[in-house]
Amino acid sequence: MPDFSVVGRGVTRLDARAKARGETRYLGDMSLPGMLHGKILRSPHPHARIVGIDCRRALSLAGVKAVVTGRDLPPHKYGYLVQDELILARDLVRFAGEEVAAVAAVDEDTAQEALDLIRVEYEVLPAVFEMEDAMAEGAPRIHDVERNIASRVVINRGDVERGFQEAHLVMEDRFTTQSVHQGYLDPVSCITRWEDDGSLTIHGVTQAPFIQREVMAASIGLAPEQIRVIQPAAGGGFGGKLDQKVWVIAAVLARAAGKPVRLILSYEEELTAGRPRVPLVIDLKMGFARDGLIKAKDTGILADNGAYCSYGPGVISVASHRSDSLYRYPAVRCDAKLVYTNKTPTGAYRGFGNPQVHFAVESLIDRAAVELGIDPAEIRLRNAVQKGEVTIHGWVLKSCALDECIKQAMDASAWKEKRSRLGPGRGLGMACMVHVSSNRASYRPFDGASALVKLEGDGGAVLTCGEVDFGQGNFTAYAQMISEELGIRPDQVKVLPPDTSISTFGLGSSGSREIFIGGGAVRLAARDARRQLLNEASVLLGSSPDELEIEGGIVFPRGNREAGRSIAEVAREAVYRGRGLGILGRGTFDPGSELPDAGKYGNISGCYTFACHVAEVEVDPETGAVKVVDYVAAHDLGRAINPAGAEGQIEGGVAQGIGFTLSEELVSREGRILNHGLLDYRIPTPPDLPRIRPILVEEDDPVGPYGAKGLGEPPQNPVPAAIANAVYDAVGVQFRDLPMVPERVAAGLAGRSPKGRPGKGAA
Amino acid sequence: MMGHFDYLAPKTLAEALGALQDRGSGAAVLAGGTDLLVQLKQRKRDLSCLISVGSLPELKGIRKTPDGMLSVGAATPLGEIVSAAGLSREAACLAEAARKVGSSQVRNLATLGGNLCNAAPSADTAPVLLVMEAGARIAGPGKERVVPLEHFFTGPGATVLQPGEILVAVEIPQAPAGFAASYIKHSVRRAMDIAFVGVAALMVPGADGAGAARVRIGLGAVSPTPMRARKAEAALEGQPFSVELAARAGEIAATECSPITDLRASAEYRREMVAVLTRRALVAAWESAQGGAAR
Ligand SMILES: Cc1cc2nc3c(=O)[nH]c(=O)nc-3n(C[C@H](O)[C@H](O)[C@H](O)COP(=O)(O)OP(=O)(O)OC[C@H]3O[C@@H](n4cnc5c(N)ncnc54)[C@H](O)[C@@H]3O)c2cc1C
Repeated sequence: MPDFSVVGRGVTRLDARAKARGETRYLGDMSLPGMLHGKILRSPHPHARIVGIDCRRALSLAGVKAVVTGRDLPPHKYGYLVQDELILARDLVRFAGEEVAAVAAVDEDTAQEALDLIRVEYEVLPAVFEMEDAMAEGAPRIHDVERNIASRVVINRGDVERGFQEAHLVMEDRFTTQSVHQGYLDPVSCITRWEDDGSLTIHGVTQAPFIQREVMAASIGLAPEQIRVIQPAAGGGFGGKLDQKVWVIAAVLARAAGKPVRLILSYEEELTAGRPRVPLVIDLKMGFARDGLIKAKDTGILADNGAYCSYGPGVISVASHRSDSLYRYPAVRCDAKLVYTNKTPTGAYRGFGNPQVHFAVESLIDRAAVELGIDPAEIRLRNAVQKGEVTIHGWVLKSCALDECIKQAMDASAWKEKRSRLGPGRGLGMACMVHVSSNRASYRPFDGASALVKLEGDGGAVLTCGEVDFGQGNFTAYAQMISEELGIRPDQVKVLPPDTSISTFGLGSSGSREIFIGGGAVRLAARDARRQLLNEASVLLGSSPDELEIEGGIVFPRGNREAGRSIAEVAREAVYRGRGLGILGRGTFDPGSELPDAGKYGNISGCYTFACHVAEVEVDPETGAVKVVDYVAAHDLGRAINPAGAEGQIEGGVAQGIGFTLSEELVSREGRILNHGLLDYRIPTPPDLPRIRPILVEEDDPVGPYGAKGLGEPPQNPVPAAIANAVYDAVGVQFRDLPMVPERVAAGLAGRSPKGRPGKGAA
Repeated sequence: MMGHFDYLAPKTLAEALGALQDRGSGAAVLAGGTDLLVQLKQRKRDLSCLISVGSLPELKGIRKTPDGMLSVGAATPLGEIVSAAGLSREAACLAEAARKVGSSQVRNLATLGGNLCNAAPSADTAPVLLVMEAGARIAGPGKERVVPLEHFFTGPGATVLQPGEILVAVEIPQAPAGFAASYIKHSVRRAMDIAFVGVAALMVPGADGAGAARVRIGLGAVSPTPMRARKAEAALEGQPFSVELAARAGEIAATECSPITDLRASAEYRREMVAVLTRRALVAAWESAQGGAAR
């Protein structure tokens, strides 16, 4: 691997100091003159007809400046993939928590008081909460679709029947995953202001400013360009900030009140009416040859959409086939259905369907390995895809270090010595994963990125682009790339958060694309700036650009540093010589991915990433408590731009995965979320986490910047299966339902299902 | 989002009692506020006046009285109780339970009095105080009384405190020589969580060293109030101690409690955990008493 001077070295994050000192200004710290505060009235019923709304008392409360209901708004629809929502409900509510009216008032207390004064008359309708019930003959129709099936994906590739006939072992089981919230610290929020020219300015955190603006515009009858989205500092997103109808509500409130409006969701609202992960029921069947090679796989997926689609159709598309590029499958079939229910709508969350399906597949493979008497690591190595291969769905693996990940995870975890050899109640489990780094299908016209790098008169650089750092640290990685190309320090680079009226177009932070695609554009923009810098310097120094070198902020003729000029000087000169334009590097990058066909065949991403995790657990057989005592996570990430940042991504993803596996669940009864606070919605705390040991497996990707691939989503994908397999090794019972809370584990170990608790049962 | 209320910060207990009486039913005592302010924000309570006891000298601090009693001021933050573990073995037992409450941020605010007066069945300091047979010193208009903690709780969120009364201190009598106690909290998370079940055990080894002369078992989160498991205690007292016997006591404790099914756990699971954790708490206390005796 070629060596770089800044790329590949641990760098302090640009935002670390301010965040650690509590000085970062998030949206909740911002206000505009004359600003009002918005609050949303939500439906208490999971399914009801709105007979009437009386806002008179709310409107007459002192301090209330506007009350808006669905009937006050044009009937435009809202939605990312399917436009099935209204901004505020008009005639029907379809989940408990649906937005019915909104108030803007001089402060939050007054707005809250006004909500209590709004009288809504409902006629309660029969509701459905289980997917089977929703698809049954004669079930109440939630939307105008057959059997409440919102979307369906069917995959059929290779001869699945023959595969099963030829198989020595066929395994079959049902796995279920629950709804979990993204758990960001910074709730969905915004400040909206209408400008004198009729355009709309929104300050708010989104993972995709340009996409969000397109969706919003359609729902309030504006052109996208009439909306300016300006991003403040962000406190997390993890997929949950790809869909924020709240912004539109704040916009209509601001219009009605004639004043800027700030709207910040409470965590109770986040947990009851956010866009949590799509829960899946996965019926999985796999056939294996005697030597462990996979012969065929057949999957049935039911996905609980909740009352509206959000990203559901995209999630089931991923769930239907993404995990198939992990192994050499000769034949796969999948039928995935997205089903409307009268529950909180679900959406995007780190992994986008992939963690759920990896849980099922990687669990079943483990059981097959045990049945066949093959080491679970060995069965994975035998089936693992390799660099240079084209997978069953046409994915081209220009780089792939899956084997290496498995081997390094085995070494680090002492797999050979420990697997099945630990004392009672202790076990080791492995799981692998594959992921994309961008997704050509998510935004059809385009899968690239662009960036502008401006050189400043002080020798520093300013980057603008349409990409987003919601906390991952990719902006620091961008600064490293610019620093690498221009020979300046990373802290001399200022990365501006996106502003849709200034930044070039970008798709933002989703699909693990920010280092691979966003970084690809940043590097090229920095190179363009370097080229311009050398040209400018060559005029000043009287030598040709290719005789010049840059080092430590100085441009000089090779071998004659004394004769050099500082970058600051050259950049300043360039401003004058260019009549103000100066040095402005431009970069665009498209990884050459292709839009898959209707059967999902096609090289959907510019590169693919792999990982192997090994968990070590301790199970208390009496209480059912599962403790993860050690965790190794080896990731094929091409190259780490900022190794410390990459390790942080892995640690965070594993921590979230542990929450998903062991403690987090939005529990609902009759469509109402019961645990709507962070005490009973249990995100793991530091004492709940083991030492997490990231391993960076670096084999350059030929397409990615400096060989780098994406690492945003991957670290969460293998976690549930790694832990479930470790529990299986420890106690001989494999748990197929998440989360594995103590009561469920204790019941499973005693050979029965837990009774009496709300939510779903079965161990 | 808490509505409007007056906030009073009296300087003496007498002043606080006076204010409480003047303000009547709309007033409540505010200690750390980690329960009360949450209830106000969630609009579970509607109050017109909060009377802070945070600066009443009579309610602060931990001290040993000349007769060996440990007196813990009701407004003492749990964090301070954790730090005072070295004061006596009784203090160490209370500290072990206090350490399991919330997080260090919560413990810096949350007080012992608040934990008891809030009277959650799951209050983490209650079981251990029950097994140490602590008393609650209560001040009312013109008089003070001491109520055994076992009679302090009357139901979920309810205590013997009458309108106008303030909990002043918790008094822990000196435990018999050689005693040891333990507290086991069972929850999903290891911090910031509410117990499904909490079990405290206290043992005083008998003269022959083979069994316990005195056994006390306290249970949390498995009945309307924190409770003693007296039948289980009786099954152990005077008998040679063994793990089997502790397990039998656990089974008895499981029949004594009356858990409910809620969001956190089912009644059945809670009952099973009472059996398991009572056994473990007894064994832990026994082993620690043996270790103590050997020293
Ligand atoms: C994040 C979080 C985590 C928590 N975790 C735990 C946990 O793990 N275990 C646990 O047991 N609890 C837990 N709690 C609950 C709470 O922190 C404790 O019950 C705490 O001890 C309450 O004390 P306080 O001083 O904050 O009481 P406050 O909220 O001030 O008061 C609580 C109640 O007691 C009354 N009161 C307080 N002091 C007196 C007095 N001297 N005389 C008369 N009445 C009085 C008040 O009027 C109020 O009704 C948690 C709370 C939070 C917010």
